[in-house]
Formats: sequence, C-alpha cells, structure tokens
Amino acid sequence: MLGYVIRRLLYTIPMLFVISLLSFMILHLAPGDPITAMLGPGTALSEEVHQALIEKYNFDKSILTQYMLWLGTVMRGDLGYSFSMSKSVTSMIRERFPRTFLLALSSFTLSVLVALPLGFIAATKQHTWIDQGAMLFALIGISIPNFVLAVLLILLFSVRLGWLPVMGFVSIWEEPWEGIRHLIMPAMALGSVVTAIFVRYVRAEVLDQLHRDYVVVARAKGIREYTILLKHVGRNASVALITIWVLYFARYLGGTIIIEQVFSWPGIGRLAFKAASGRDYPLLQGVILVFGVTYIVANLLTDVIYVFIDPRITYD
Amino acid sequence: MMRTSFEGWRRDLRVLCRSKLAVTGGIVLLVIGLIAVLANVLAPYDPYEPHYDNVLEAPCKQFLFGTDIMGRDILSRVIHGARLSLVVGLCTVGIALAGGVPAGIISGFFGGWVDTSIMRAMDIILTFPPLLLALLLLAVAGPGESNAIVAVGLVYVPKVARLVRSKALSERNQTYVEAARAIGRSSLGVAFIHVLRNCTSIIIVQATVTIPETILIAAALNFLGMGTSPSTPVWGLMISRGRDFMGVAPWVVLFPAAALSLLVLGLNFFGDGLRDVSDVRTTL
Repeated sequence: MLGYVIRRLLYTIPMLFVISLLSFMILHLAPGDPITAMLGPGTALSEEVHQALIEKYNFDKSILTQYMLWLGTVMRGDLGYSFSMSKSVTSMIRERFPRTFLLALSSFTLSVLVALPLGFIAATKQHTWIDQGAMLFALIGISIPNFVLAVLLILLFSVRLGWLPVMGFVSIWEEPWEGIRHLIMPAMALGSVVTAIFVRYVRAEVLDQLHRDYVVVARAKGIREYTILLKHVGRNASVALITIWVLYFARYLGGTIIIEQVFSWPGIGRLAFKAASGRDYPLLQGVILVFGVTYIVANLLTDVIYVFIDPRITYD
Repeated sequence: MMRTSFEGWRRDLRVLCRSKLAVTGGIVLLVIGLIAVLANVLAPYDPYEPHYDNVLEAPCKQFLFGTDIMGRDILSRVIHGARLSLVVGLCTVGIALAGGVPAGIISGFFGGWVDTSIMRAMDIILTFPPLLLALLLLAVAGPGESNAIVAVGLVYVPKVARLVRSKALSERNQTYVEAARAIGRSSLGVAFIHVLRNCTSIIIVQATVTIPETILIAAALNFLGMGTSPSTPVWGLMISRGRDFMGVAPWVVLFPAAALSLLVLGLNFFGDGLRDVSDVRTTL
C-alpha cells in the first residue's frame, strides 16, 4: 500500500515538470520582452533601469539557467509580484484558494446529493415516467450553460423574490448564515451541468450492475432489494463513478472562472480572469501552476481512494 | 457502425429518423440554421440600429422581443446572433479537426515514440479546463473575434486527437491495411487514405458532440468580454451586458439566454441520437 502511494507520487513528477515548464514559458511567449510582460503594458523605463531589471531577474542568462533559477524561487513559495494588483502572487493565491475550494466543494456535494438518488431511482424504475423525467432533466441541465443559469438564478432569487444576495462573498466562519446565503447560488450554478451529466452516468452504471450475475445470486439468496441496491450495486458502481467525477473535476475549476466573475466571488477563478484580461503574466504563471497542481493532486487522491473502495485493485 | 458507402448512409439515416431525440434535435437545428441563413430577410430591423425613443421597451407589437438600453431591437439581434453562433461553432470545430485528426491518425497508426510523445503532450493540455486554456491563448495573442475562434478551436485539438488515435490504433491491424501495403502504398498513404476513411464515422460523431462545447466556450469568452467588440449581436455578450438592466427589463437577458440554451439543447439531442445510432464511444 505504502509502496503503491510512493510509486504513484513519483509518477506525478513528469506531469509537474511539464506544468512548471508551461508556466515558465508564459513570460517568454508574451509579446515584447519579459520585462514588459512582467511590469504590464504601458510602463516606460529608462535604459539603465531596464538593464538592471534584466540582470536582477536573470533574463540575460541562458534559458535553461533561467528555468532552474525560476524553479528554485517557486519551490521556496515565491511566485513573483503582480504589478497590476500591487501584491505578491503567492499571498493572493493563499488568500483566495480556500474560497474557491469552499465553492467547488459545496457545489460538488450538491451535485452528488442530487445526482446519486436521481440516477439510482431512474435506473431502478427504468422505462417509467420517473426515468424519462430524470433523463429529460439531465438533458436540459446539460444544455443550459452555467453562466446563463447564474444570470437566471439572480433574476429569480435576487431581483424578483429578493431572497438571496445578488453577489459578493461573506466568510462562512465569521458569519455562517450570511456566508451560506452568499454561497447557495454560485454553488448551484457551478454544479448544474456536471450534476446533469452525473445523473446520466449514475443511471447507466447502476443499470449495468443490475444485470450482473451477483445481483441474481443475491436475489436468489433472498436478500432484500434495497440491501442489494445500496450495499452491493452501490459499492460496485462507485468505482466507475469516482473515475468519472475526477474527469469532471477540471470542469469545476474551469467553471469557477466564469461563475466567480458573475457573482463577484473573490477566488482563484476570478484571479485567473483578471490575469488573462489584464495580461498580468506573473499572475497568469501562478494561476497555471495552481490549476495544474490542483488537478494532479485530485487525480492522485482518487487513485489512492480506489484501493480503499475496491480491494481487487492492486497496483503491481 | 456507420458505413461510408451510400447504402450504409441511407440505412443509418433511417435508423436516425427512428430516434425521437435525434429528430427533435435535428428539427431544432434545422430551424435555427434556416434563421441563421435568412437572418437578413427575417430580422425586422438592423441589429446595430439604435431607436433612442424606444429604450428598454417591453415586448410589444413593434418590437416582438423588446429593445435593449440603446433601443436596439432584440429580436433582430437574437436572429443575427444565431448566424454568428453557428459560424463560430463550425469554424472552431473545423480548427479542432484540422489539428486533431492528423495528430490522432499519425499517433495511432505509427505508434511507438511518436505516439507516446504526442499523446503525453495532449494529456498535459487536457488537465487544464478549456476556458482557462482559451483565456491563456488570448492573453498571449490578444483579445478579438478571430483570435477567440482560433483559441477555442485549438483547445479542442487534444480531445479530437485522443479519440481518433484510439480508433486508428484498432484499425492498424486490420486486413485492409496489410492489403494496401501489399499493393505498394506508402505508410502515409495507408494512414491518410485508408485508415482515415475508416475513422470517418467517429470523426463525424465527435464533431457533432464538440460543436455545442465550443459554442459554449466561445459564448463564455464573449460573456467575459474577451471575444468580439461590445456592439456585436452575439448571445453571450447580450446576456452579459443585459445583466445591469434585468431588474427593470428582464427580456434583455431572457431572449438571448433562451436562444443559446435552445441551440445547445438541439445540438445535444442530435449528437446523442447520432451517437446511439453509430454506437461510437465519445467519452474518453
């Protein structure tokens, strides 16, 4: 087990390397020289200052040396300085990451709470109106883009009914009630499309499992139907479902970019948009690293979780 | 499986027509397609023309969908938006196919280190959310309409490549490959004439299911203001700009939102139907 985890950890090294390389290259792919890219457009520097900056940030060295030096500072937790926000990139990411994590986690929980029962019921009542209704709900859910749903939710719950705040963020630790009120709509909008996709996967997977021999055996033994469903089918279906949920993890991260923008949620997604629209390259570098590393960690966690769920899986 | 011969096409079409989903989706798409082609005839007003006496007018006889803050007719803008959406969808998927199909065929057919290096690169790109990648490309290339289209197209290259590769991989051991080699075709010839032809069905299905995704990413870019200029009648931008007035004039947002959702719904219905008929796996 421990050996497996260590091997799996080693496996992430090439991935991390390429992501760091991508992040590093952004500064050099940017139009103009790296100093202009770093300071933002429209900064006029005297020749001496420009030269001094080039030396300070090692841009006069070979590209390989530059990368090694840059990697060194990143490893020490220094992601550079965002001139458009006048803050260090690391401090901004540290401040905002928990907020995005909270949003994504709430949204994910909501998706699971809706999709699991709905998919299960649709599968057990196949070809009834419940099944067809659930599938129609899923297809419509997939078709309404998350930012459109976000706007529609605001229109209904904030503008018309006045139940929920239009936008903004309140710390859930300081004011739990207000925090949750601010969280509801972004979480719903962020998860809607993925929820709809999950419903279809859960249904398909449960249907597949229901036709396996072990279900027939369990029924023949006289085990109660809901025990079969929850214990046997549920456990077997979960292996495939977890894989799919991780595949859609990137969707959550991508969704935060637009959802955080709509709801003025001060998280990583909004930071990513600010970095891209303001051409703030140091910030962009940091955002790429965060998104990439988050994805790798999520994948790593799933692979480890598998072993606990399915004892048949051994990695040798 | 779908066949590329004429007979096969006719049979597939019959099966497709039996699927309620595909037919519903197909009709929706046909209507939107007609609206897009006939936009100039159907739109009652010029989509850019402001009517300053009728600002934020509610839907009425004169303006069926109402007007926006500049007094522009929303119905005309929604109609012209259909054209722009379809053009964006086709162009982006065209770019995704142009990059992904050759990469996938080469990777799957030749295998070895070529395969490994192409696919590893694609895997890394796939770890990033599409919207972030598109924004990243725009941050380097600068915002703008054509840049946005190219960026969204490029983002979907790896997805297409991966799928085509898996198909090409299973095709390379078929008898016809051996036969083509035996009559003296070069490796590249076999790959791009025979293997490619046998990958057509999977490519068509993949294109159909990718279009709604690229349309959505493009709409999201427009919504964020990274796509076209503010006056262009694209749905994503209309929804985004209309948010400020939706308290007093919800129609400013509701009609483009409904249009975008309907288009994506039609594409999804049709894609699902097509996938069921062709029995092609499009998930990774």
